Amino acid sequence: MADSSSALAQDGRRAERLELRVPTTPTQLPAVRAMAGDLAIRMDYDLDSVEDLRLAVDEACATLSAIALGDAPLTVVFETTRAGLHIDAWVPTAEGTDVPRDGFGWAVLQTLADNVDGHRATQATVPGGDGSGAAVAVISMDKYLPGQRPGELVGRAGSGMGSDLSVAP
Amino acid sequence: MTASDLPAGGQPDVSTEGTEAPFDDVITLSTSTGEDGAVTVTVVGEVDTFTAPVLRSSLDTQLEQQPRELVIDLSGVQFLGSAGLAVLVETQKSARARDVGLRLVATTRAVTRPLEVTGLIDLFTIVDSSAR
Repeated sequence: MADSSSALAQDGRRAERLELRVPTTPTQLPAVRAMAGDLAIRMDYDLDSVEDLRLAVDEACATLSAIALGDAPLTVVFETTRAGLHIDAWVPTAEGTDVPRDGFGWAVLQTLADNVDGHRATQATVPGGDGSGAAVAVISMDKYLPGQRPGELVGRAGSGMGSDLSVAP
Repeated sequence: MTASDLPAGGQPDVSTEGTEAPFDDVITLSTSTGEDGAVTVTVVGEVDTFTAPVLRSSLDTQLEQQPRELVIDLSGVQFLGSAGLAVLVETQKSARARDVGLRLVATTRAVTRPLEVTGLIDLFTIVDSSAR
């Protein structure tokens, strides 16, 4: 195929980041889903993909809400690039908590997104973290726009490109 | 057995009083019984990990009444996540075990897409409206 030299944000549109931080309560997940759907509609996703994104974001957030430490908030970072949408969602967890990847929900998530990964990390390595070594669990995913080529990551949140925009609950 | 003293269908069965207020905005359930004995549970709102248990208990209650047929009208549903899909699959299982017919009314992409993506759509009888 063609050379894959293009780092996604260097040609054309800039990457943009949108960060949401919400309590892991029943009323907040609808807000996060709505944000995902709205972003996707304003990009060039077809309607099925918009639905897939709402479902994928919900699945990731519900999964993380179940393992969050106490009433720690959920952080969701959307990064839009020319190729699509990269999403990192994370919650603080107790030390050693893994992202559950064996259920029906995870299987659904894998069919909905083009790349999905769930892993342990620290506040120092996640976008919007406090820089400490405290444990977090992260789910990252990519969804390509129609005609974009899967095979490389859509973007890398925290790479400093583009403008940041925060929305507090 | 525990629900055998519950009223039969045909009256509002929203029984969400026990839950916290926010649920009211997210999901609304209502139940009606047709002349032919088919019970329709109409779901309006979003079925996610938090509201799915409310739906589950309503559907279980109806199945325990052993209706001739159970219709789940999802045409007012704007979101159906994996927890909601799981409720539908469980309901299908228990309907079969009780020999109760089950139909889903699914007209919107928000409902048909998750059923399609997961391949679960083949498990169900899907109709366009609750009218026969």
